[in-house]
Amino acid sequence: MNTLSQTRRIARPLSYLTTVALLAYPFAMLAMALSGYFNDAFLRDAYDAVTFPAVLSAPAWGAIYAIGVGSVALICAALWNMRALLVHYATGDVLGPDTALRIRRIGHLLLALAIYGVVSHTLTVLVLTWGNPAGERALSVAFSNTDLFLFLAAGLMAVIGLAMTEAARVADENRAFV
Amino acid sequence: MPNPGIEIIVRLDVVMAQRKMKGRDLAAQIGITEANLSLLKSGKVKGIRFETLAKICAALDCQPGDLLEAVAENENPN
Repeated sequence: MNTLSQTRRIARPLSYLTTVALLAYPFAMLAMALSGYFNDAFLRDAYDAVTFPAVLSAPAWGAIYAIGVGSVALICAALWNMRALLVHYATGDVLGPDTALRIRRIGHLLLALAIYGVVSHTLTVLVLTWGNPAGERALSVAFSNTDLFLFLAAGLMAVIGLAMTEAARVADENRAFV
Repeated sequence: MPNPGIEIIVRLDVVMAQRKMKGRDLAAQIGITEANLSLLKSGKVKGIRFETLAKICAALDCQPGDLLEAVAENENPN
């Protein structure tokens, strides 16, 4: 089996899986939000090092949910482009201009996710502690190993996308030879 | 010194007419699609592989020089 056949064979089920994830993930998040899963206990557990009021205001809850929606939107955008890329691969189109563009976009979205992960943590802590008395509000910046690897993976995808753009150009030139 | 005003003209259609060879038959013999052969005849390709050129010469019993001609750009009516 040549590599193109292998690529098609592996990409097809992955494209189905990505499609399922793209449909299920936002609905799952919405269902969890509507069921009250993301409640006070959830926040206290996730931000156990932060002291914030016993009752959060409605604007604070709105801001926290808005921050969460931003993350879901970025993940869905990344899944959308992953699905499109895998569909290309499943049909055997591995060196087209659109595949290179998708890879670059995935890289940019992963980079945005990595940055958003750091920023959203800072914003969430700020929102949580905004109701505290003056002098007890907190500004927190957290950067984990996961964030570092996400930054590196994002950079790698972006560079691979650029390389694939060049590969698509060469493939297109080769197609013009008989 | 290379002359930038030279272009390569493909005379494949002339040789095919002389040998009374149809495009469909030649394409099948040399292993390329009719569409690619048509592009080659009209000169709308960026290049030709030596392997393809050799197969065309074998099929039409001709030399590469019978198929390709270098002309000055201002001499080409097209």
